[in-house]
Amino acid sequence: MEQHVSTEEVVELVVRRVSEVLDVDAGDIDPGARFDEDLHADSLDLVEVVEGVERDLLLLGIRAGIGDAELVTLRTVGDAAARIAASARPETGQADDPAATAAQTRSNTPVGATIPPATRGVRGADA
Amino acid sequence: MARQRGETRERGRVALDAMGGDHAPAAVVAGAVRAHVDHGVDVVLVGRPDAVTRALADVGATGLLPIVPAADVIGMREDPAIGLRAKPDASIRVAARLVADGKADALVSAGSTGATLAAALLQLGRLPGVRRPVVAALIPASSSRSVVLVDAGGSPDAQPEALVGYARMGLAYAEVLAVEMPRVGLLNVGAEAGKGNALAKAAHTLLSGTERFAGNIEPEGILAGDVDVVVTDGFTGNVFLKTVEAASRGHGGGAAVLLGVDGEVLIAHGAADAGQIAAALRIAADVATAGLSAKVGARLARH
Repeated sequence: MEQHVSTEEVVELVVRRVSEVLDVDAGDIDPGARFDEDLHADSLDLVEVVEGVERDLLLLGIRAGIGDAELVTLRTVGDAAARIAASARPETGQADDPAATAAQTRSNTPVGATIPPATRGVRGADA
Repeated sequence: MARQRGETRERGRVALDAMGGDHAPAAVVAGAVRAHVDHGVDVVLVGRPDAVTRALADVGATGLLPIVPAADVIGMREDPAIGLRAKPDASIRVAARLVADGKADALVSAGSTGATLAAALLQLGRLPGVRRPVVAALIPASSSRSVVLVDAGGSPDAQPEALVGYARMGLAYAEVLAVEMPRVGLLNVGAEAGKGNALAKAAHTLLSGTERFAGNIEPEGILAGDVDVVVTDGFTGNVFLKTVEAASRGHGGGAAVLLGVDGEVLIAHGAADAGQIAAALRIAADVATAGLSAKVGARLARH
């Protein structure tokens, strides 16, 4: 199967995100590092790392996304990188993947979610 | 992080997770209507449109407040992070996204605290130097002042290192609340250094090397106002908070603040009634107007 990004490149991204999220030195994280025993990462840490790497890849024009069931089976940094790399494909602008949709933070209010102008009128009376 | 702020409105719009809480959406929506009508709070309701529309109609407020649709809800028994991953359109995540996108200035939820913390972290990001955000509640102390309790229930299983971070955030919050040179105590079953379980002993060792640490503190000392900030894990903190509330037969202050995320997030009681939701919304509007998270961030950067 053609790979759109190398596992080595994704390892670099994963290491950087793990370093940020867990506040550990990137130099101390090797691909064999286990999320639970070595890094003491919980499920929120894992989701933060994976979504962060997905955002990094989107900026490179690559959409990657691993499912939530698969996410909980990730054991090591290298493992995560390999699975993310295997899921990568060129960004087509189609948000057909919930995981990838979730990765688009700060810019992804659902369609139809236009908020009407503030329905204020009472505020000010007590201000 | 530059956010696009609406130019035609004041800061103070609150995104409310209409599906979060034991009595959601009815009591939550009723509280939003009360906060809006009685106090002019600018509220956006986030949730399943049919359920939220019905709840508005039930209190005679059809069309009064804007609704942002969110198809899913994170259950109280779900793993918050995995649940949010599986349900990107969960109400709490959509509400947090409104704040991230600058379409609202604060987030309020009475739903799963873990899901609120996770959604806030994933959508808003953390303040610099923060490992894990923490829930801060104000405990009424005797001398007509309040003590900041961290963690009041965000992360039940904390490592000792996490408590050092909680202490820093609690101290920064106390300073924002105009406490001069606040002091922090470690919640424990005795004042001496060797007291407590493994977590408390390890945390005491780590905290002993930090500024403003006043040693262990027992519940009596907290209620007497002997320290300004009390630090503990989220499980113990939540039990302590609920005990204080039950003993005082109080309504529990309205809302706790999530410290350490880059945005304003308030956590209301799971069992909140309409009055408590309305109180939480007023606090959220005030916190957004005051720009609490930026002030906490500025103080964290100094220490």
